[in-house]
Amino acid sequence: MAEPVIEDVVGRYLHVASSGEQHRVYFEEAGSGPPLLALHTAGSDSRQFRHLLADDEVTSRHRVVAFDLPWHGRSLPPDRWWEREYLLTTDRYVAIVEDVSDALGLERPIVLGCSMAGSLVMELARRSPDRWGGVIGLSGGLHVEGRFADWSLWPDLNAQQVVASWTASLMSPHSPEASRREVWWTYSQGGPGVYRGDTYFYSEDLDLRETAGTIDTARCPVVLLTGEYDHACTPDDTAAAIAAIPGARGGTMAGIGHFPMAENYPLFRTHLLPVLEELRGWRDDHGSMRQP
Amino acid sequence: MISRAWLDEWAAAVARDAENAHIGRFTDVTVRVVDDNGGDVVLHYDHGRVRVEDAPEAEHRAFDADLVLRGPVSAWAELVDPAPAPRRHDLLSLTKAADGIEVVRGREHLLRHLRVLTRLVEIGRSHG
Repeated sequence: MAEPVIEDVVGRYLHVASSGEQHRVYFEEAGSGPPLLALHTAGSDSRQFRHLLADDEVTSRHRVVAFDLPWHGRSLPPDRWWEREYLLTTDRYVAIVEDVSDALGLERPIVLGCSMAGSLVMELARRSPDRWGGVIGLSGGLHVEGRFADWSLWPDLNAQQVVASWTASLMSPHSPEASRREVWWTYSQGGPGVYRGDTYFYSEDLDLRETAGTIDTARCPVVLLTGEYDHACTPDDTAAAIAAIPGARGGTMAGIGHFPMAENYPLFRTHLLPVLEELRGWRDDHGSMRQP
Repeated sequence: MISRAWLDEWAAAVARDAENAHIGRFTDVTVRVVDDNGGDVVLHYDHGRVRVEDAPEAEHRAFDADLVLRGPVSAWAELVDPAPAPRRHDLLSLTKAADGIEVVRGREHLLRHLRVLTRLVEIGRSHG
Protein backbone atom coordinates (compact mmCIF):
# COMPACT_ATOMS: atom_id res chain seq x y z
CA MET A 1 0.00 0.00 0.00
CA ALA A 2 1.35 3.40 -0.99
CA GLU A 3 2.44 5.76 1.75
CA PRO A 4 0.13 8.73 2.26
CA VAL A 5 1.41 11.99 0.83
CA ILE A 6 0.77 15.40 2.35
CA GLU A 7 1.72 18.22 0.04
CA ASP A 8 3.68 21.18 1.39
CA VAL A 9 1.16 23.69 0.06
CA VAL A 10 -0.71 25.59 2.78
CA GLY A 11 -4.09 27.30 2.39
CA ARG A 12 -5.18 30.25 4.53
CA TYR A 13 -7.65 33.15 4.53
CA LEU A 14 -6.71 36.81 4.29
CA HIS A 15 -9.10 39.56 5.40
CA VAL A 16 -8.40 42.54 3.20
CA ALA A 17 -10.17 45.73 2.10
CA SER A 18 -10.23 46.56 -1.60
CA SER A 19 -12.27 49.01 -3.67
CA GLY A 20 -14.18 50.05 -0.57
CA GLU A 21 -15.27 46.55 0.39
CA GLN A 22 -14.11 43.97 2.86
CA HIS A 23 -13.05 40.61 1.43
CA ARG A 24 -12.12 37.26 2.88
CA VAL A 25 -9.66 35.93 0.34
CA TYR A 26 -8.45 32.37 0.16
CA PHE A 27 -4.85 31.86 -0.83
CA GLU A 28 -2.39 28.99 -1.04
CA GLU A 29 1.34 29.19 -0.80
CA ALA A 30 4.44 27.03 -0.84
CA GLY A 31 8.18 27.58 -0.90
CA SER A 32 10.46 30.43 0.00
CA GLY A 33 12.45 33.01 -1.87
CA PRO A 34 11.50 35.84 -4.21
CA PRO A 35 7.69 35.87 -4.34
CA LEU A 36 5.87 34.54 -7.38
CA LEU A 37 2.23 35.63 -7.42
CA ALA A 38 -0.03 33.45 -9.58
CA LEU A 39 -3.36 34.73 -10.92
CA HIS A 40 -6.03 32.36 -12.21
CA THR A 41 -8.21 32.60 -15.32
CA ALA A 42 -11.74 33.93 -15.76
CA GLY A 43 -14.38 31.88 -13.96
CA SER A 44 -11.91 29.55 -12.29
CA ASP A 45 -9.76 29.62 -9.16
CA SER A 46 -6.29 29.00 -7.77
CA ARG A 47 -6.53 25.23 -8.13
CA GLN A 48 -5.19 25.82 -11.62
CA PHE A 49 -1.78 26.35 -10.01
CA ARG A 50 -1.66 23.18 -7.95
CA HIS A 51 1.13 21.72 -10.08
CA LEU A 52 3.18 24.91 -9.84
CA LEU A 53 2.71 24.94 -6.05
CA ALA A 54 4.01 21.36 -5.88
CA ASP A 55 6.99 21.86 -8.18
CA ASP A 56 10.12 21.62 -6.00
CA GLU A 57 12.23 23.24 -8.67
CA VAL A 58 10.06 26.34 -8.35
CA THR A 59 9.27 26.32 -4.62
CA SER A 60 12.94 25.80 -3.72
CA ARG A 61 13.57 29.19 -5.33
CA HIS A 62 10.32 31.10 -4.86
CA ARG A 63 7.57 31.75 -2.36
CA VAL A 64 4.68 30.85 -4.64
CA VAL A 65 1.33 32.42 -3.77
CA ALA A 66 -1.96 31.83 -5.59
CA PHE A 67 -5.25 33.33 -4.44
CA ASP A 68 -8.90 33.05 -5.38
CA LEU A 69 -10.38 36.33 -6.52
CA PRO A 70 -13.49 37.36 -4.58
CA TRP A 71 -16.51 35.50 -6.07
CA HIS A 72 -14.22 32.60 -7.06
CA GLY A 73 -13.24 29.31 -5.46
CA ARG A 74 -13.14 29.62 -1.68
CA SER A 75 -13.24 33.45 -1.67
CA LEU A 76 -16.87 34.35 -1.09
CA PRO A 77 -18.44 37.37 -2.75
CA PRO A 78 -18.58 40.59 -0.71
CA ASP A 79 -21.60 41.54 1.38
CA ARG A 80 -24.91 42.21 -0.42
CA TRP A 81 -23.59 40.37 -3.48
CA TRP A 82 -27.09 39.21 -4.34
CA GLU A 83 -28.23 42.75 -5.09
CA ARG A 84 -25.83 43.35 -7.98
CA GLU A 85 -24.63 42.03 -11.29
CA TYR A 86 -21.04 40.79 -11.15
CA LEU A 87 -18.85 42.63 -13.67
CA LEU A 88 -15.11 42.76 -13.12
CA THR A 89 -13.58 46.11 -14.06
CA THR A 90 -9.95 46.94 -14.69
CA ASP A 91 -9.76 49.25 -11.69
CA ARG A 92 -11.23 46.69 -9.28
CA TYR A 93 -9.06 43.91 -10.66
CA VAL A 94 -5.85 45.91 -10.40
CA ALA A 95 -6.83 47.01 -6.90
CA ILE A 96 -7.48 43.54 -5.50
CA VAL A 97 -4.20 42.19 -6.86
CA GLU A 98 -2.24 45.12 -5.45
CA ASP A 99 -4.08 44.98 -2.11
CA VAL A 100 -3.61 41.23 -1.67
CA SER A 101 0.05 41.52 -2.64
CA ASP A 102 0.58 44.32 -0.10
CA ALA A 103 -1.40 42.58 2.64
CA LEU A 104 0.72 39.45 2.25
CA GLY A 105 3.89 41.50 2.36
CA LEU A 106 5.08 40.43 -1.06
CA GLU A 107 8.07 42.52 -2.05
CA ARG A 108 8.26 43.07 -5.78
CA PRO A 109 6.68 39.76 -6.69
CA ILE A 110 7.02 38.31 -10.13
CA VAL A 111 3.42 38.06 -11.35
CA LEU A 112 2.26 35.11 -13.43
CA GLY A 113 -1.25 35.48 -14.86
CA CYS A 114 -3.27 33.47 -17.34
CA SER A 115 -6.05 34.45 -19.74
CA MET A 116 -7.75 37.54 -18.29
CA ALA A 117 -4.87 37.68 -15.82
CA GLY A 118 -2.44 37.26 -18.72
CA SER A 119 -3.84 40.51 -20.06
CA LEU A 120 -4.05 42.08 -16.62
CA VAL A 121 -0.33 41.72 -15.96
CA MET A 122 0.38 44.16 -18.78
CA GLU A 123 -1.87 46.70 -17.11
CA LEU A 124 -0.18 46.06 -13.76
CA ALA A 125 3.18 46.78 -15.37
CA ARG A 126 1.81 49.87 -17.06
CA ARG A 127 0.31 51.38 -13.92
CA SER A 128 2.97 50.55 -11.34
CA PRO A 129 6.10 49.11 -12.92
CA ASP A 130 8.22 49.46 -9.80
CA ARG A 131 5.81 47.44 -7.72
CA TRP A 132 6.59 44.20 -9.58
CA GLY A 133 9.64 42.10 -10.24
CA GLY A 134 8.48 41.35 -13.76
CA VAL A 135 5.28 39.96 -15.24
CA ILE A 136 4.55 36.81 -17.19
CA GLY A 137 1.34 36.81 -19.18
CA LEU A 138 -0.15 33.59 -20.54
CA SER A 139 -2.93 33.72 -23.13
CA GLY A 140 -3.07 37.49 -22.82
CA GLY A 141 -3.61 40.19 -25.43
CA LEU A 142 -4.15 43.90 -25.77
CA HIS A 143 -7.88 43.48 -26.30
CA VAL A 144 -9.30 39.99 -26.64
CA GLU A 145 -12.53 40.08 -28.63
CA GLY A 146 -15.61 37.95 -28.32
CA ARG A 147 -15.48 36.27 -24.93
CA PHE A 148 -18.16 38.37 -23.17
CA ALA A 149 -21.66 36.97 -23.75
CA ASP A 150 -24.93 36.62 -21.88
CA TRP A 151 -25.78 32.99 -22.60
CA SER A 152 -24.35 31.65 -19.35
CA LEU A 153 -27.25 33.37 -17.56
CA TRP A 154 -29.99 31.97 -19.77
CA PRO A 155 -32.49 30.14 -17.58
CA ASP A 156 -32.78 27.26 -20.06
CA LEU A 157 -29.05 26.60 -20.25
CA ASN A 158 -27.03 24.64 -17.70
CA ALA A 159 -24.04 26.95 -17.30
CA GLN A 160 -22.36 24.50 -14.95
CA GLN A 161 -21.81 22.22 -17.93
CA VAL A 162 -21.75 24.67 -20.82
CA VAL A 163 -19.18 27.15 -19.45
CA ALA A 164 -16.92 24.20 -18.70
CA SER A 165 -17.31 22.74 -22.19
CA TRP A 166 -17.02 26.18 -23.81
CA THR A 167 -13.68 26.86 -22.17
CA ALA A 168 -12.45 23.28 -22.60
CA SER A 169 -12.49 23.92 -26.33
CA LEU A 170 -9.51 26.21 -25.85
CA MET A 171 -7.20 23.40 -24.77
CA SER A 172 -4.89 21.34 -26.91
CA PRO A 173 -6.30 17.89 -27.69
CA HIS A 174 -2.76 16.64 -27.07
CA SER A 175 -2.68 17.76 -23.44
CA PRO A 176 -3.14 14.88 -20.99
CA GLU A 177 -6.80 13.92 -20.76
CA ALA A 178 -6.84 13.82 -16.96
CA SER A 179 -5.56 17.41 -16.83
CA ARG A 180 -8.04 18.62 -19.43
CA ARG A 181 -10.86 16.99 -17.50
CA GLU A 182 -9.64 18.66 -14.32
CA VAL A 183 -9.84 22.06 -16.00
CA TRP A 184 -13.39 21.20 -17.09
CA TRP A 185 -14.27 20.16 -13.55
CA THR A 186 -13.01 23.34 -11.91
CA TYR A 187 -14.86 25.42 -14.49
CA SER A 188 -18.06 23.56 -13.69
CA GLN A 189 -17.90 24.98 -10.16
CA GLY A 190 -18.05 28.71 -10.82
CA GLY A 191 -20.94 30.81 -9.52
CA PRO A 192 -23.72 32.04 -11.81
CA GLY A 193 -22.52 34.88 -14.02
CA VAL A 194 -18.97 34.86 -12.67
CA TYR A 195 -17.31 33.63 -15.88
CA ARG A 196 -19.39 36.18 -17.78
CA GLY A 197 -18.45 38.95 -15.34
CA ASP A 198 -14.77 38.13 -15.66
CA THR A 199 -14.90 38.17 -19.43
CA TYR A 200 -16.37 41.67 -19.16
CA PHE A 201 -12.90 42.70 -18.05
CA TYR A 202 -11.09 40.49 -20.57
CA SER A 203 -13.12 41.37 -23.67
CA GLU A 204 -14.79 44.69 -22.87
CA ASP A 205 -13.24 46.87 -20.18
CA LEU A 206 -9.53 46.34 -20.74
CA ASP A 207 -8.14 47.84 -23.91
CA LEU A 208 -4.39 48.32 -24.11
CA ARG A 209 -4.22 49.06 -27.82
CA GLU A 210 -3.55 52.76 -27.26
CA THR A 211 -1.49 52.49 -24.08
CA ALA A 212 0.68 49.38 -24.37
CA GLY A 213 3.50 51.39 -25.91
CA THR A 214 3.94 53.29 -22.64
CA ILE A 215 4.82 50.16 -20.65
CA ASP A 216 8.38 50.54 -19.44
CA THR A 217 10.00 47.12 -19.60
CA ALA A 218 13.26 48.55 -18.27
CA ARG A 219 11.43 48.99 -14.96
CA CYS A 220 9.26 45.89 -15.22
CA PRO A 221 10.12 43.14 -17.70
CA VAL A 222 7.19 41.72 -19.65
CA VAL A 223 7.11 38.16 -21.00
CA LEU A 224 4.04 36.96 -22.93
CA LEU A 225 3.45 33.35 -23.91
CA THR A 226 0.45 31.78 -25.60
CA GLY A 227 -0.38 28.20 -26.57
CA GLU A 228 -0.77 27.46 -30.25
CA TYR A 229 -4.18 25.81 -29.78
CA ASP A 230 -5.68 28.88 -28.09
CA HIS A 231 -8.48 30.27 -30.23
CA ALA A 232 -9.66 32.86 -27.65
CA CYS A 233 -6.39 34.75 -27.39
CA THR A 234 -4.53 33.51 -30.42
CA PRO A 235 -0.76 33.47 -30.87
CA ASP A 236 -1.28 36.39 -33.28
CA ASP A 237 -3.04 38.37 -30.54
CA THR A 238 -0.11 37.86 -28.22
CA ALA A 239 2.40 38.60 -30.98
CA ALA A 240 0.61 41.93 -31.47
CA ALA A 241 0.99 42.68 -27.78
CA ILE A 242 4.70 41.82 -27.86
CA ALA A 243 5.14 44.09 -30.87
CA ALA A 244 3.30 46.94 -29.15
CA ILE A 245 5.32 46.86 -25.92
CA PRO A 246 8.93 47.97 -26.41
CA GLY A 247 11.21 45.34 -24.92
CA ALA A 248 8.50 42.74 -24.33
CA ARG A 249 9.44 39.16 -25.17
CA GLY A 250 7.79 35.80 -25.55
CA GLY A 251 6.02 33.85 -28.22
CA THR A 252 4.06 30.71 -28.94
CA MET A 253 4.11 27.49 -26.95
CA ALA A 254 3.74 24.49 -29.25
CA GLY A 255 1.31 21.77 -28.27
CA ILE A 256 -0.50 23.76 -25.58
CA GLY A 257 -3.79 25.62 -25.39
CA HIS A 258 -5.29 28.39 -23.27
CA PHE A 259 -4.56 26.93 -19.79
CA PRO A 260 -0.86 26.00 -19.89
CA MET A 261 -0.23 25.62 -16.15
CA ALA A 262 -3.30 23.44 -15.69
CA GLU A 263 -3.74 21.51 -18.93
CA ASN A 264 -0.13 20.41 -19.39
CA TYR A 265 2.16 21.49 -16.58
CA PRO A 266 5.10 19.24 -17.51
CA LEU A 267 5.28 20.85 -20.94
CA PHE A 268 4.52 24.35 -19.68
CA ARG A 269 7.30 24.30 -17.09
CA THR A 270 9.86 23.88 -19.87
CA HIS A 271 8.84 27.39 -20.94
CA LEU A 272 8.37 28.77 -17.44
CA LEU A 273 11.58 27.75 -15.70
CA PRO A 274 13.98 29.65 -17.99
CA VAL A 275 11.79 32.75 -17.75
CA LEU A 276 11.73 32.58 -13.96
CA GLU A 277 15.50 32.20 -13.85
CA GLU A 278 15.89 35.24 -16.04
CA LEU A 279 13.44 37.34 -14.00
CA ARG A 280 15.10 36.31 -10.74
CA GLY A 281 18.37 37.59 -12.14
CA TRP A 282 16.78 40.83 -13.29
CA ARG A 283 15.15 41.31 -9.91
CA ASP A 284 18.46 40.73 -8.13
CA ASP A 285 20.15 43.31 -10.35
CA HIS A 286 17.41 45.93 -10.09
CA GLY A 287 16.40 45.68 -6.45
CA SER A 288 14.11 43.28 -4.74
CA MET A 289 12.41 45.98 -2.67
CA ARG A 290 9.48 47.95 -4.00
CA GLN A 291 10.66 51.31 -5.28
CA PRO A 292 9.26 54.42 -3.53
CA MET B 1 -19.41 14.21 -46.59
CA ILE B 2 -18.31 11.60 -44.17
CA SER B 3 -19.71 8.37 -45.55
CA ARG B 4 -22.98 6.91 -44.37
CA ALA B 5 -21.14 3.72 -43.41
CA TRP B 6 -18.80 5.77 -41.22
CA LEU B 7 -21.75 7.54 -39.60
CA ASP B 8 -23.50 4.25 -38.86
CA GLU B 9 -20.35 2.86 -37.24
CA TRP B 10 -19.95 6.07 -35.29
CA ALA B 11 -23.56 5.83 -34.07
CA ALA B 12 -22.82 2.32 -32.82
CA ALA B 13 -19.71 3.61 -31.03
CA VAL B 14 -21.80 6.36 -29.44
CA ALA B 15 -24.22 3.75 -28.11
CA ARG B 16 -21.32 1.84 -26.54
CA ASP B 17 -19.65 4.87 -24.94
CA ALA B 18 -19.85 4.92 -21.15
CA GLU B 19 -19.48 8.67 -20.78
CA ASN B 20 -22.11 9.39 -23.38
CA ALA B 21 -24.48 7.04 -21.61
CA HIS B 22 -24.59 9.12 -18.46
CA ILE B 23 -24.13 12.67 -19.78
CA GLY B 24 -26.68 12.21 -22.57
CA ARG B 25 -29.50 10.60 -20.70
CA PHE B 26 -31.54 13.82 -20.53
CA THR B 27 -30.67 15.11 -24.00
CA ASP B 28 -32.95 15.13 -27.03
CA VAL B 29 -31.70 17.15 -30.01
CA THR B 30 -31.59 16.95 -33.79
CA VAL B 31 -28.57 18.11 -35.76
CA ARG B 32 -28.55 18.54 -39.52
CA VAL B 33 -25.12 18.23 -41.11
CA VAL B 34 -24.67 19.71 -44.56
CA ASP B 35 -21.60 19.77 -46.79
CA ASP B 36 -20.66 21.39 -50.10
CA ASN B 37 -20.80 18.14 -52.03
CA GLY B 38 -24.49 17.32 -51.66
CA GLY B 39 -24.18 15.59 -48.31
CA ASP B 40 -27.13 16.35 -46.05
CA VAL B 41 -28.04 14.15 -43.08
CA VAL B 42 -29.96 14.54 -39.85
CA LEU B 43 -28.60 13.12 -36.62
CA HIS B 44 -31.35 12.37 -34.13
CA TYR B 45 -29.84 12.23 -30.66
CA ASP B 46 -32.29 10.64 -28.29
CA HIS B 47 -31.22 10.17 -24.67
CA GLY B 48 -27.85 8.62 -25.38
CA ARG B 49 -28.37 7.10 -28.84
CA VAL B 50 -27.98 8.51 -32.32
CA ARG B 51 -30.01 7.67 -35.38
CA VAL B 52 -28.73 8.84 -38.78
CA GLU B 53 -31.17 9.71 -41.58
CA ASP B 54 -30.86 11.43 -44.91
CA ALA B 55 -32.30 14.93 -44.64
CA PRO B 56 -35.65 15.23 -46.41
CA GLU B 57 -35.90 17.43 -49.49
CA ALA B 58 -36.69 21.02 -48.58
CA GLU B 59 -40.22 20.88 -49.95
CA HIS B 60 -40.96 17.86 -47.77
CA ARG B 61 -39.37 19.29 -44.66
CA ALA B 62 -42.08 20.12 -42.12
CA PHE B 63 -39.51 21.70 -39.83
CA ASP B 64 -35.76 21.92 -39.73
CA ALA B 65 -33.44 20.34 -37.19
CA ASP B 66 -32.73 22.12 -33.91
CA LEU B 67 -29.17 22.77 -35.00
CA VAL B 68 -28.02 23.09 -38.61
CA LEU B 69 -24.30 23.02 -39.37
CA ARG B 70 -22.80 23.52 -42.81
CA GLY B 71 -19.24 23.28 -44.00
CA PRO B 72 -17.01 22.03 -46.77
CA VAL B 73 -16.17 18.33 -46.87
CA SER B 74 -12.67 19.23 -45.74
CA ALA B 75 -13.95 20.84 -42.53
CA TRP B 76 -15.98 17.76 -41.58
CA ALA B 77 -12.87 15.66 -42.13
CA GLU B 78 -10.91 18.01 -39.87
CA LEU B 79 -13.56 17.71 -37.18
CA VAL B 80 -12.86 14.02 -36.74
CA ASP B 81 -9.17 14.11 -37.54
CA PRO B 82 -7.23 12.51 -34.64
CA ALA B 83 -4.38 14.97 -35.22
CA PRO B 84 -6.14 18.24 -35.97
CA ALA B 85 -4.39 21.50 -36.71
CA PRO B 86 -4.20 24.11 -33.94
CA ARG B 87 -7.30 26.29 -33.70
CA ARG B 88 -9.13 23.93 -36.05
CA HIS B 89 -9.20 21.17 -33.48
CA ASP B 90 -12.84 20.93 -32.45
CA LEU B 91 -16.34 22.10 -33.25
CA LEU B 92 -16.14 25.52 -31.61
CA SER B 93 -12.76 26.35 -33.08
CA LEU B 94 -13.94 25.32 -36.55
CA THR B 95 -16.95 27.64 -36.24
CA LYS B 96 -14.43 30.49 -35.97
CA ALA B 97 -12.01 29.27 -38.65
CA ALA B 98 -11.81 30.14 -42.34
CA ASP B 99 -13.34 27.38 -44.48
CA GLY B 100 -14.67 25.91 -41.27
CA ILE B 101 -18.15 25.06 -40.05
CA GLU B 102 -21.01 27.54 -40.10
CA VAL B 103 -23.83 27.50 -37.57
CA VAL B 104 -26.73 28.07 -39.94
CA ARG B 105 -29.43 27.70 -37.34
CA GLY B 106 -29.83 26.93 -33.66
CA ARG B 107 -26.79 28.44 -31.99
CA GLU B 108 -28.70 28.22 -28.71
CA HIS B 109 -28.92 24.45 -29.19
CA LEU B 110 -25.21 24.26 -29.91
CA LEU B 111 -24.57 25.95 -26.58
CA ARG B 112 -27.24 24.12 -24.61
CA HIS B 113 -26.03 20.71 -25.75
CA LEU B 114 -22.34 21.53 -25.98
CA ARG B 115 -21.23 18.92 -23.46
CA VAL B 116 -22.88 16.09 -25.33
CA LEU B 117 -21.95 17.42 -28.77
CA THR B 118 -18.33 17.69 -27.69
CA ARG B 119 -18.39 14.05 -26.58
CA LEU B 120 -19.93 13.00 -29.89
CA VAL B 121 -17.06 14.66 -31.75
CA GLU B 122 -14.52 13.00 -29.46
CA ILE B 123 -16.06 9.60 -30.16
CA GLY B 124 -15.89 10.35 -33.86
CA ARG B 125 -12.27 11.30 -33.56
CA SER B 126 -11.31 8.16 -31.66
CA HIS B 127 -13.43 6.15 -34.09
CA GLY B 128 -11.09 7.36 -36.86
